[in-house]
Amino acid sequence: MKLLCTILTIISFSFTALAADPTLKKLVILGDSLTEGYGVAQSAAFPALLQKKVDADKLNWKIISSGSSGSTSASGLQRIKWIAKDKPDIVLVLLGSNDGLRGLKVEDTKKNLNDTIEWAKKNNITVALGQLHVPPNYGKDYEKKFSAVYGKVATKNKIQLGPFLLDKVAGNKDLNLADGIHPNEKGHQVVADNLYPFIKKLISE
Amino acid sequence: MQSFSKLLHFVRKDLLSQKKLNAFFVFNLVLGFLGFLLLQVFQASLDQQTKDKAQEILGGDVVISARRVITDDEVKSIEEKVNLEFIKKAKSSDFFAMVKFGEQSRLVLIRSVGDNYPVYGDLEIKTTDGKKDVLKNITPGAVYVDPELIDQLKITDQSSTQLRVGDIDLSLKGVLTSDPSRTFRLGALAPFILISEKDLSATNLVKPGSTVTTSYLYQLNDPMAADAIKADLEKNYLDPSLRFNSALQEDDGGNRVFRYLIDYLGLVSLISIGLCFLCLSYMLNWFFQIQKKTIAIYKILGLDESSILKVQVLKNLFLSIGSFVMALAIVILALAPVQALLDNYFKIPINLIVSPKQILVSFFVVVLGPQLIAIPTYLAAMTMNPLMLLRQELSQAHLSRRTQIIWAVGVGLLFWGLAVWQSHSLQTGSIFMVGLIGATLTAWLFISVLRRATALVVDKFNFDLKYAFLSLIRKPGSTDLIFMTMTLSVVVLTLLPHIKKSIIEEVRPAHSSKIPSVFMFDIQMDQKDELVKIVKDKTGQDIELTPLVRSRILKINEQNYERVEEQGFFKTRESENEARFRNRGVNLTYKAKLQESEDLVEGQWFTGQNGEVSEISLEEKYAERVGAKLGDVMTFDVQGLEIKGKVTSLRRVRWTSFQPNFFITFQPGVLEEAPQVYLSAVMQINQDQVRELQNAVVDRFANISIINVQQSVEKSLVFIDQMALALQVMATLALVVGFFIFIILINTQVGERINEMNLLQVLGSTQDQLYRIMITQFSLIAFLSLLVGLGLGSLISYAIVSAMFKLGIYFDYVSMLSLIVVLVSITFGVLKVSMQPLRSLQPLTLLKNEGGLVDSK
Repeated sequence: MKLLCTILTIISFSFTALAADPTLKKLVILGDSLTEGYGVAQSAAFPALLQKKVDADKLNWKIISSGSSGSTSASGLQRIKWIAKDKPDIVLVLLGSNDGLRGLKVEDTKKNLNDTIEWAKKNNITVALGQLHVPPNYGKDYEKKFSAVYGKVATKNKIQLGPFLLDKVAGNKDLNLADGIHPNEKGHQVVADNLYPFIKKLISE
Repeated sequence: MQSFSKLLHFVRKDLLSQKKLNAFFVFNLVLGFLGFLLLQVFQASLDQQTKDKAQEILGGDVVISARRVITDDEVKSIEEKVNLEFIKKAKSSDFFAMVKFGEQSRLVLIRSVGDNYPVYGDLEIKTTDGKKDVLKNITPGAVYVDPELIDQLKITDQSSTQLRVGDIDLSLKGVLTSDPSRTFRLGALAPFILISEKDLSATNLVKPGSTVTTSYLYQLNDPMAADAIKADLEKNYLDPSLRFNSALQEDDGGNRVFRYLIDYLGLVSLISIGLCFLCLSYMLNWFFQIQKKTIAIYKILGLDESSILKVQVLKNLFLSIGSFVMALAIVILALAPVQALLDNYFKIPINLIVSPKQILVSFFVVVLGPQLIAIPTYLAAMTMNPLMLLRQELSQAHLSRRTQIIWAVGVGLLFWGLAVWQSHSLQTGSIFMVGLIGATLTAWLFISVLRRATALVVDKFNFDLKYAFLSLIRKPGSTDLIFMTMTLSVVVLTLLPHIKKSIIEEVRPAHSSKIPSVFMFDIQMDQKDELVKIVKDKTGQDIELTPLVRSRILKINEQNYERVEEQGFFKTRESENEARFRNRGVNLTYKAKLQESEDLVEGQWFTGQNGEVSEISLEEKYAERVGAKLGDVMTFDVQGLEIKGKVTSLRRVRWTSFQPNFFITFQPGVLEEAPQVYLSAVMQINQDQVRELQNAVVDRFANISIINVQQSVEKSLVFIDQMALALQVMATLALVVGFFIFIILINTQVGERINEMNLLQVLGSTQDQLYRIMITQFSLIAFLSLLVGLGLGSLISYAIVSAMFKLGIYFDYVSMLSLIVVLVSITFGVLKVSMQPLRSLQPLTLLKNEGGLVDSK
């Protein structure tokens, strides 16, 4: 229990440290292995690359990566509550890839994303959603239904929908690790390039 | 210098004049050879069977694969570059997809296969009309599915079922009942279906962006070259997306079991060689001692030393070859009944084979090898004068130091070479060799010190005891020889049971209640309580939930742990693999106690006292891989929060325990608040309960993956049980060989003492008194050999299990107890039987100086 208190103190210290600069704002990317930067160094993963771009543009924002490999949209609600302790200004939800890869029902993915976003909104956190797709081998029907979820959730919650994270990366062997799913260092650079205009717009608003 | 025909004449004369002695020698040799040959046949057959199984599981001798499409041109260029010579090859493509039947839609793992699939093993099916069959060829338009998909898609009539796969409909032709490539694969995310490669493009599922694994499976002209070809492929191809595998160099659970088995079999081979060398060297030595008188007579009659040596060598060779042929004939005749016994009683799927190569190798090892060991004994005949030879006491040749060193180095190198060759491992062969040399020296030191110490106190004993001890002290050569041979036999006999038990404890769950039927993962925190209720309701079980927290290791002792690209790329395949390993993140868990599948090997388990840095425990091999040791501080990024942990203990984990195991464990009170998911397993429920549970869980929590592992676990356990039985049979067989050696030792030693006993009988000793003297002598030697042998054997077992198998040691006390009981019984029984001739011996025999093994004239 004493240790738990220590940890909670560390958390509150880290919040305090961030809060030391009252003008510094925080954008948390809530995602899975793509956000975690599976297989590449943290400094080479797209959240860190986005931070470099933000710094280069002298925007006073901190990009925080909260990726967890293997996580599905079902973890969204629990994790956004954890993230909320850090009082983020914006949360970009990039969940659902693993739902698709595991062939879960799209209705469930939709419900989980809605629950996560609604909770964030209720707690005055600005939320955005990133578009995701499943690979073509899951079949046209499933691919179509799955992709449609993101637009529907964004419309229903009146939030911004980002571009497809792996645009120009998925299926390109030069931009992926040997597992064929996760981007390599070059792939993460392309992801960051894809996403940055959207992020810039999001934080500028 | 005698002509060869003259030498043969002497040999023939020797053989005919000492029929009884020669028959006794041959009988003992046949016993020794029988044990060796049986062990060799069993070992070689099981070794072949294990390799066949590994080929079936991998699907080929060598497999080239990638998580992408590999074109035929690409694979052809690879084949040409490494000059890959193969008998046949097959292609397969694996990918997940949704399959539809009516309104039902399910995720499946599709495997499309071309001609020649499977390269090894049989795919067993049950056709739609219920017949069992072996799938030889998958025709276009057909689909074969896992049984659980029939339930999941609610298919009631299989005969006219069409499944929608991508853009085409395929006809259900049967259900897959056995697929060797999936042994030890503990279930997948989805059921498996098999289609023809010719239908693949029409499904329209594999196109740019698809996640597909392409594999080319090869049956090589020379399967033994698989590992070398794999190494060659890895050297030639830096493309990290290409993977190369060979049947025995996989790293999953199944291959771990195979490697244990093959390493064990290598050891069995070593042990059989060790036993054989011990036994035969002893026999040759003993045989020479018995024949000293004959050699002395030859010398007195003026036969030159070289001819005497040739006669002795030739005679021993004739007898050894004759014994080998007899033992081989018995083995060949016994093969069919033993095979029937294995098939019908033990249910071990193994085809016993005796190959010409095996016979040739055995011949060289058991017939010629011991002759090399006997060289000093032979040379003794050259250096000793006839008077020394006529003495009854065992004596050794006084060879020059140079000759002794050359001989010792030669024998050492021969045995070491054999050990490395038989175990297929420099490390194993060397450990075994060093262990045996260490054991020999320890045994020799022990008996030398004991002999000298006994000499100081022997006068205080009564006549029987005093005589027994003095017999041992006065014949140091003989005492040392029998003690060391017995001790070394016990040492090698001790190894197999201990190592067998350690392997079985590693691969086989101790309690059947711990064998899972289903695994569940991605359980969210808020789903825990309700899931526990559902499982309780459907199965009556209270499940345990294991937390899993994702994190990344940032630093070890303030040194950066992650690897970044140098100059925009990784220079070698190895450096890239290392970087991917370090950068892929780790799963953490937390708990207060060690679980059954874990043992603490270093440090201290969590004290419960919370310091500033939390305590963590690492799995020992993982700690070695990441370069962490006790006391090191590791920094983790737990989803945005940095947490430090000090390594306070290292654990050994039984990965084949079917339990959720982790590399890194935190003490409780640190990670409870972090985002986490849970894993769980439900043990030992029937198929109906599995189905009911799956439906209930999926209906309530669609995200929870519930994998039915019952069938694959059962199949893996059947293999493990067969393997355990095979190990047991091998260990028992080795024990039987050891018992033969004990019988031989006591038999020959009593034979050697029979004249002495006869003298005591003439001087008035009773049969009971003589028996007591002999019992005292041999009980003492047997007891001390057992004591020293069991101790040394257990120590060497510990070294082999730790260094070679990298496992925790489990001592097989039951086998050790059986060993003691049987060896003691053998000592008493053989003494009783081999002293029988004493009853019929007459003083006249003694006066003629002829023992029980000498033919009466």
